[in-house]
Formats: sequence, structure tokens, C-alpha cells
Amino acid sequence: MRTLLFVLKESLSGIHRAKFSAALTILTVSISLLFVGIFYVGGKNVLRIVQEIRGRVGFEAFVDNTATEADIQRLQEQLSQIAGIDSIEYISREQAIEVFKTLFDDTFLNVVEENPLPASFQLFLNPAYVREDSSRAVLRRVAALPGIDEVVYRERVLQRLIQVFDTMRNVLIGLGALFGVLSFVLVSNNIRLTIAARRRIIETLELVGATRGMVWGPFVIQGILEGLIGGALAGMALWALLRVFSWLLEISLRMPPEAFLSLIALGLTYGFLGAMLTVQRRL
Amino acid sequence: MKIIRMKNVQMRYPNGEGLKQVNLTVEQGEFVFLVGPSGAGKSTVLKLIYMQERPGLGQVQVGQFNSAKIRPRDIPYLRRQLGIVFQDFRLLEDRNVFENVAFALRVIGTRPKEIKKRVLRVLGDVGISHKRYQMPYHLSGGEQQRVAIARALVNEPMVLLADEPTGNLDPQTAEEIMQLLEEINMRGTAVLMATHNYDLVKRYNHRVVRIEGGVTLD
Ligand SMILES: Nc1ncnc2c1ncn2[C@@H]1O[C@H](COP(=O)(O)OP(=O)(O)O)[C@@H](O)[C@H]1O
Ligand SMILES: [Mg+2]
Repeated sequence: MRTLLFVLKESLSGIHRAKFSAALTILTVSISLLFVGIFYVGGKNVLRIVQEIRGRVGFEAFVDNTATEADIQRLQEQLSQIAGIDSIEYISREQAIEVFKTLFDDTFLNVVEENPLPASFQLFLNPAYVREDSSRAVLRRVAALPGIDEVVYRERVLQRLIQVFDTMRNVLIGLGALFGVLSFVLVSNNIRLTIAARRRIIETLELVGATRGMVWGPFVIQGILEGLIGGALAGMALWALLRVFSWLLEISLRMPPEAFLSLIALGLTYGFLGAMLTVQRRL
Repeated sequence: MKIIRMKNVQMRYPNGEGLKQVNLTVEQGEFVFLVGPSGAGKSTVLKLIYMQERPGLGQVQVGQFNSAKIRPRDIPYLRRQLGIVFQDFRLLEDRNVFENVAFALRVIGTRPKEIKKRVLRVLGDVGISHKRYQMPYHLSGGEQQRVAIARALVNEPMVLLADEPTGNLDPQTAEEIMQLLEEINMRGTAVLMATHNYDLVKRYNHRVVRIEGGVTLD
């Protein structure tokens, strides 16, 4: 217990004596963890947007004008059995005209005698089938049904968007990991410097019979503390940043509740591992 | 009773240098000089005793510890039974004389009251009590070596290992440090002192072990 206090005191005085280097490490760790946080929050939002768009992707299947009520019933039945289609909405010819009228001037309709618009099914894809190859397979099966005239893909753009967002998310996750590794390297480098600066103390500790834990302890604790403080600072900075962006962009960007604790835990882990690794290699 | 026994010890550094054949014993309470030219292997012999290095052949027995059987995590407990001083003193520059000596006790978890008592006593023994709140860099070389000796003794070791303890001191101060080592030995602590100074050795009536080129001679 007394030796534990001694180790703690030595590690605090280690940080105190290398104030500048420790402050610099904490700062850089918190900056790179802030990036991790930004990427995490960014990735999460991108993910949410992607999910939202995915729910909206679908196509229209136009029904042959000669189709009877019974045909429609049968088609509805058949469509509902195709895997990958989440929801089916039937739009009759009359409904189509109503929709058209709300969108355009109806003088155009007066020119033609008969309702030119076909009935259609609005089909929404299951998000799992949104990828281009699988959605095309669904589309082919729908087009093959007797009574379906034509299938029109409404949301090619959305699909492109999803792909862009997917890439973006992957890039963000990659960058987050990169900055995570960076903070790990920074901690371990700082510990290496501290060990070099404290050679004499280490030698003396070993000379007077300090156990290995006591020689390592101060450095490991120092790493943990630096990581911990860095993580907490990153969490606070992220929170502030989200507030500023919410205000600037007039949207609501909330701090995910787990983000703050995750950053602290991440900082602690990196600090601990960085210190352990260096200590193991250098002492 | 022998507290140190090295028999036919050979030890090689990665570069091929080291010890070829070393035989050495130190009895309880004895004062032994290990003398030889620089590069002969004196410091290496001491390193083998405090088990910073392990022998290639032969065994080193120090108290109840044996180089062939000791586990790395037991080495600290061996060191707690040894006092070690060097030519360059090796004090901690960031704390005063008292704290430098107390360090050896704090590491092993001695109670603060006990620490104070023992540090003050040993500082008195080496004649440096009056400078106990000074920082090491305010002390002369002789005074710094006294502090180093106090740190080595505060844990009441079975033997004091001294590697050229007078090597950095002027003759007058060296003589004073030798007197101090004599006193310490007189009070019962064994001393093993490595030196290349044959003249100094001649003036004291202690057993001498000569070493040359990694080989001890009788
Ligand atoms: N850490 C080391 N690595 C390699 N060679 C060493 C090391 N320490 C000492 N030596 C070599 O071993 C020999 C004995 O050195 P040392 O024990 O320091 O001699 P002394 O203390 O008698 O001057 C010398 O040739 C020296 O160069
Ligand atoms: Mg030497």
C-alpha cells in the first residue's frame, strides 16, 4: 500500500517534471482522439442517412392497360412473394391522374380525350436489396410477370448516393482507426522519452531493490493518466464542436451518449497499451 | 561464513569480452580489494554479484541466492541485501540528500517514522547530517559519495560493493572516503572494493584479489 502510494507519487512527479512533454502528448492525443470522435459521429450520421435513403429506394411497375381487376389482384399476390420487396402500393389510373393534376397544369389533360396514364405498383426495396446487382435481379423478376408493361427505376441517383455514402463511411472509419493508432504511437513515444529522461531514477530503483512492478508502475500510470486526460479533453471538444456546428448549420447534431465514455475508454486503453509496450521493450 | 562465492566463473559479453576465469570469496565482515588495470573485468565481477549479468559457466552464490537458480523476480530481494556505490555517485538530482537516502527505504515500503529515524542515523554515521536538506549539486564530490554510501548502508546490507569509489576524488578526499569505508567495515559490514589504484591498496592491510584480462590471480 505504501509502495503503491510511492509509485503513484513518482509517476505524478514524472509528469510534473516533464510538464511540457506531457502537456504536448496529452494535447496531441486529445486532438487525434477528437478526430476519432468526429469520424465516429460523422460515420454514424452518414450511416443514418444511408439507412433512410435505403428505405426509400424502389421502382414503379406499370400495369398493362388491358389488365382486369382480377389481374391486378393476382399481380399484387405475385409481387408480394418476390423476396426483396418490402412494401407494395397500388396506384390506379384514376389516382395517377389525380397525382398528375396536382403536379401539372391540367390544360394539358384537356387536349387528350382519354386518361393516358397507366396504373402502377410503387415497389419499395428492402434495404438489404438496395445494392445494384441485387436490386437489378428483383427488377428482372418483376418485369417478367405477365401483365407488367414496363418497370421504371426511379432512384438510380439515390443508389449512387448510397454508394458514395458507403465509401465515405468506410473512409471515415479508416481515418478514425488511423488517428487512433496515431495517439497510441504518441503515448508510447512520450513514455520512451520519459524513460530516457528518467534513466537515472530507473537505475537507482533497480539498484536498491525495487520490484519490476515498481519500476514499471510509474510509467504505466503516466500513460494511463495521459490517455485518460486526452480522452476527456477530446470528449469535451467534440461536444463543443457539435454545438457550434448545430448552431451554424441550424440542424440538430447530438453527441451520441456513448461517445464521451468511449473516448475516455479509448484514451485509457491507448495510454495503457502504449506505456506497456514501451516499458516492456525499454526496461 | 562466506557471503560471496564465485567459482571458475566465466562470462562473455556479446562482443566477446568479459571474464575468463574468476574465483573469489568474501567472508562475513571481511574487507577485500579487487584490484587490476582498467578493462580487467572488475566492474563485471561486481555486476555478476548483484546479478545484473549472469555467468556463462560456473556459479555465483551471494547469501542464499544462487545465479543458477534465482528467478528474475527475486533479483530485487537480492539487491536489498547489498549496498552498491560507484565512482560517479549516481544520486538523484531532483531531490535532496535526505530524500536520496530515504528513497532506498521508500521503495521497500518502510514506515515513514522508521525511515526518518534510520536515514538520520546513517547520515550521522557518514558525517553528512548537517547537509541533509541540500540538493546533490550543491555538494562536493566527497560529500556526494558520502550520501551514496549512506544510501547503500541504510538498508543494513550484508556487504557493501564499491566500484572505484575514490576514482573521481582528489587524494585528500579519497583518503577520507577510505577512512569511512574502514569504519563501516569495523562496525561489521563486509566491503568488496574494486580499484585500479595499487598504491592505495598497499596502504591498507586487507586481503587483495588481483584480476587481469578477466582472470583472477592469487
Ligand atoms: N556492457 C558491456 N558490453 C560489452 N563489453 C563490455 C561491457 N562492459 C564491459 N565490457 C568489456 O569487458 C571487459 C571488462 O570490463 P570491466 O568489467 O568494465 O573492466 P574494469 O571494471 O576492470 O575496468 C572490458 O574489455 C570491457 O570493454
Ligand atoms: Mg570498472
